[in-house]
Amino acid sequence: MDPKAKATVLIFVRDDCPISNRYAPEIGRLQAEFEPQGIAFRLIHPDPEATAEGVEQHLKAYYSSMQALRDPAHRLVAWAGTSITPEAAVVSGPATLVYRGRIDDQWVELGQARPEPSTHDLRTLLLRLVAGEELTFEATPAVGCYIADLK
Amino acid sequence: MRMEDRSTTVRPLPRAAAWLGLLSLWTSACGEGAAPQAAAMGLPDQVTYSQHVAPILFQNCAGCHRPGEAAPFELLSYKDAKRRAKQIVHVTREGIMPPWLPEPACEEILDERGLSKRDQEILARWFEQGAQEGDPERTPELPRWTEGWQIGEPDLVIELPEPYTLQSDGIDVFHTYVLPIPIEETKYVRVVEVRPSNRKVVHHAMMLLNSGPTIRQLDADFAGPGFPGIEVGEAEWPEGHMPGWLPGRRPFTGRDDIAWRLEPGSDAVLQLHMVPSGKSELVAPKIGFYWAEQAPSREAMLLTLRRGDLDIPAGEANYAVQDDFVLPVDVEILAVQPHAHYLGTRMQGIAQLPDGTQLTLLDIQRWDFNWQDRYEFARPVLLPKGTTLSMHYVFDNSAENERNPSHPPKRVVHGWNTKDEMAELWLQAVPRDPNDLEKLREAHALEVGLDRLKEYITLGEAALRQYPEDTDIRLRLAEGHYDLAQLQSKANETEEAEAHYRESLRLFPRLAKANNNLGLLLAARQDWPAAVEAYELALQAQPKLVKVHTNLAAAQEALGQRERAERHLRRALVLQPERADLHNKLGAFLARGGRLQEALGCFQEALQISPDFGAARKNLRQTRALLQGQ
Repeated sequence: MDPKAKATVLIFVRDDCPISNRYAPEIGRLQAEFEPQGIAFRLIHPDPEATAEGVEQHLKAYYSSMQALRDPAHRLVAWAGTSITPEAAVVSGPATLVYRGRIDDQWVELGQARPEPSTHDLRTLLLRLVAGEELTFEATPAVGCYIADLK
Repeated sequence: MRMEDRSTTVRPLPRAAAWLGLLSLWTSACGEGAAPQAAAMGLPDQVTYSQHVAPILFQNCAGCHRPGEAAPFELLSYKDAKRRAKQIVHVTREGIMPPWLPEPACEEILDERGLSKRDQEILARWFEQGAQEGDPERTPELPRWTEGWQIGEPDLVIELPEPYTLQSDGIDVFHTYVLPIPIEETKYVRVVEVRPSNRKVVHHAMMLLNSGPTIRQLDADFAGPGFPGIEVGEAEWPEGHMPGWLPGRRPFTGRDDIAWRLEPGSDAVLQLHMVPSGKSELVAPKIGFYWAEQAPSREAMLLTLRRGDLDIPAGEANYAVQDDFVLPVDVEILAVQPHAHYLGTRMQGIAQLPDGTQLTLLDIQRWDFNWQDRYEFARPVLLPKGTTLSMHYVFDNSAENERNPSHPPKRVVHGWNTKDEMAELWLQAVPRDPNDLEKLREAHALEVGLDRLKEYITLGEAALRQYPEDTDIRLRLAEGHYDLAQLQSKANETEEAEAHYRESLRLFPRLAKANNNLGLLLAARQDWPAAVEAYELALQAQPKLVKVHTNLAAAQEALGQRERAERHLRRALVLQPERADLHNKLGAFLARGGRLQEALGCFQEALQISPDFGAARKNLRQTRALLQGQ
């Protein structure tokens, strides 16, 4: 985690997960909104087959100034308790998990997206965080590809 | 949750010769020592990718889950499958994949997709047992797919002037192109292939024909190629066909006998439904035309069942609509395509035969706007004259419908915008006797005309409720009722016609033509006093309407009021003395009254104006004969 950051948002992704990729613009927007307010963003690749070049190419294609880490042994996965891509885990301070779950509720099920999200879970949480609210752990269900399939 | 047990006999024939080898692999591999039949019933003890899973994926999934095709990832190898094992089990168990909306219909639907319960169980067991590969040597060969144009080089290819750049963001993007078709003479099109170029983001494409100004204007007004949205203007499906591109369709070679006519000066209207991927993408579709050898011997037409007056209240979970059409001739139905937007749920197309038999043409329990498709029957469905075709659709505009584009739900009306709704069922129909095509067209046009007028009236009534003092709305609504009554009269729906004429007059008592037509209706029933009343009201509003005078005269004569009748006939003549038929009418009237000499004069007058007037000449001869007899 970024020691200078107030909090870190970890987004678990797969470069071959279409839902994960389709969230890239929204993740980019959240980064633009909250990075200046002291929130760090990191993409986490739990795919053991991911290479440095592959991750780099993926970043170039979908993001403008994002950073990514690989987590082939699923240590971060285990710690955050994530199971889906894309799934967000928000870490407050150095190591306090305050959120795990979806970015918003646009995806109802695989292959089924709402025309527009009706809740913006991650953004709402980050707004509360930067407002100084004391957060206790919350979780929401995520929809996407399974991290368990990456072994 | 939706998939029923589908027997393997329903599936289309395998694509590659390698399949034949599979059968022997299967029976020899299953169940050590058990008789082949018994083994085929149960699941294999040890499920492996190479023996059990690959065949399922290759036959049912790989068509789309391969490079350059619609699916966003591949399922061609063990590695591909292993990385998605849990996901595969999830989507197949839930009926999400393979995507297929209809329940079984009265006739086999081509390219039907579905996994049997057994196949689903095999996949589940494979995952539970750790997604083992098995012996890679035993993995069957991949099917062979045709690359590029699916049925050979087209006779004509048209494409976008420049690729379209699809934005990175959003859920659905609709865009329409208007592309001139450069031909010098009439062509007959056997089939069209639309190649979307970027199947990852083009969800489906539809091609219509246009020669009208509306969308050409929209195209011109919008900077850049095409225009956003799916407004069609005057564009229509070509003569009973529904060309386009949908994921997973087998190449369709078309039929020469129902090739459709393409005239010079038409545009190909390409509507694309695209789904952004998270990054900017280029889309450069092409359309290939394949000409038929000769002019078609039969013509198909598109029957449309529809409702254009949708008005779904916010929160309404079960908004049901229906439309019907009775076939005036024997017809074959070749294909059906349903259409609605996000809120559709249950959608059915039923044919009820005159003997009471009910056939299901289409039964979708849970509509999904993303998987719109054209369903072609393996064999045309034969429907006899007198069959009622009906469409039954249900819409859910409640907050519980997660596909609702509005939160909270809003009132939704008919329209092209995806936040509006539509209810249409297109049926590709060929009359069994080619000579019946005109009759079918006319009946359909009449039905469509009746429906549209009814919808116009519904909208007009709503408008009048909102603005009760607006005389313009009032008159237009009266005209709507009048037009509807006229059509209903033509369709022999005389009771309905009368009701609408009366409604028209209630709204606008001075609508003379409505009173006139009402009079005619009443006269046809021989209700002379009522007919007279209607005609007189018409004349009060418009005293110079000649036809009303003559109609009134006929009714008065029937009532024995000869003096009055004569007055009106003479009045008509004063208004239009140049009309030979009016002289003839008066003459006939006088002759009926025994005034033969006077009648003669009228007939002669008629013939002077119009020497070829056969009826007058005949009347003249007969009257002369009568006079001579006296």
